[in-house]
Amino acid sequence: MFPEATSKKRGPPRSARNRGEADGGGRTHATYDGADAHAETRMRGGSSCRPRRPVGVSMAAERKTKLSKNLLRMKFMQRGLDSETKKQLEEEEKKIISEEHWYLDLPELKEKESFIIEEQSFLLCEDLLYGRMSFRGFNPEVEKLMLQMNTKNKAEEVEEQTVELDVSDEEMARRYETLVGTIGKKFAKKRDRAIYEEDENGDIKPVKAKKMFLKPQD
Amino acid sequence: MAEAAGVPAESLAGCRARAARTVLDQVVLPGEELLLPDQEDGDGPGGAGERPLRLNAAARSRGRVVCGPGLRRCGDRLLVTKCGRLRHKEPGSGSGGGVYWVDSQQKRYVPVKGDHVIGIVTAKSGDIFKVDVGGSEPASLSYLAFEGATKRNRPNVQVGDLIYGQFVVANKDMEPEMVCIDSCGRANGMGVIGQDGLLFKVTLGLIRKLLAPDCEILQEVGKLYPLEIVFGMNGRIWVKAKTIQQTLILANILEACEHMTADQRKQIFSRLAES
Repeated sequence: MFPEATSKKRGPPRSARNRGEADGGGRTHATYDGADAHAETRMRGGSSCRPRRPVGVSMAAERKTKLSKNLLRMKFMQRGLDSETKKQLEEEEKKIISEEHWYLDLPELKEKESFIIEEQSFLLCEDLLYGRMSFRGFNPEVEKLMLQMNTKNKAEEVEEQTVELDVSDEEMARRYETLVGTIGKKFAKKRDRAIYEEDENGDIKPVKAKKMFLKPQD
Repeated sequence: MAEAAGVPAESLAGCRARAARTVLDQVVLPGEELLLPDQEDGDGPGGAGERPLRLNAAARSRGRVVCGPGLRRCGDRLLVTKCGRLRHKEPGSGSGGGVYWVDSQQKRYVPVKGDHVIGIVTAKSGDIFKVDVGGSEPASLSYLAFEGATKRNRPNVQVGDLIYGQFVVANKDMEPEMVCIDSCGRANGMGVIGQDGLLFKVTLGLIRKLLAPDCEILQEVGKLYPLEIVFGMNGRIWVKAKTIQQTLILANILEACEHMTADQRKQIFSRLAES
């Protein structure tokens, strides 16, 4: 586009250019239109051996556009962004992910409720007796089993067993309250034993808030 | 010939599905479709608006109907897959609509989950035993599936032993697995069957007939002499009595009683009681 850009222009030697201001030196050679950008490119070409200067926003702005998308998505690059741009980026990402999901373009099928269950076992159909049998005392254990299993088939025995309470509920609750403390003391580490210190009256002091490690927020 | 063969085929193809209620205790053939009680109007559940009042109105509010061995579900109807007599059992405690099944006869056993069977240990490999149950594949039995078995305390099972156990896994896609404990961890009579005795094979229908609650054969057999019997749902029976002769007599009776009438049976038992 700018044929002059390819041709080498002879200017003052580099050392002369370094001295003084780069802008002035660059501009004197800018004989073509749209000078600024190209003056700066030429300047950059020479700046590899020059010490770094606080150049200005214009250079940084140009560099930003050439960074890759993955780099911009990294966490440290996003700290400077507004919350709005962050949200936009997130939404874009979600959109990309959801578009990648495959889905079938079928109409919704209603499942028919079926009333029929298929079973291949004869146990449901016929009440069969237990398979092991013994007659006239040949095997007493099997005869006991026969009685047990066959009555189980016929009727389910419901036995209600009432548990007698040796200790009343209130007393149980009271004892348990103190029990938790005493057993807890046994397993607590030295630091935690401070919690279980007792006052003169024998009551346990209220628990102090422990100092926990706080993660630094960004 | 072709015409004669054509006519019955047409008549079979032309007849509609029959109601299950009308066919109870009759012979059904594979391929027949049966209607369940609340579909006999012909419309099916499509016309839900008006339904004529029936005497058995309770049938409409049925729960689930169970289709047992020999039947398959085909849409809303039952399809017969084995030939035999159609049976029905009413629901006992009000749950569901009862059970339909086909009472058929066969000798070849197909493993079914929950069945108690007698198996013969054929191999011991690592932690499992291979047990032959008469199916297409030997079932696997883990050594931990016995009562009181731990890694240190292994059960005393040798190749050739008889095992009475039940299936926990039995379907057409996987190798059958059996165990000798129930869900609580108790043996309940399962495990290795003792020494001596005789194992023989009968048809599956006879086993079910003998294990029926009101079986007279077993009651009569039990009066002869002291004996022990184990029935496996895979068609195997193990018997033991005090002498070899008694054991053999018992085995013969059980094998023969399938084809005897009640009178013939009584004659034989009376002859035995005399001798």
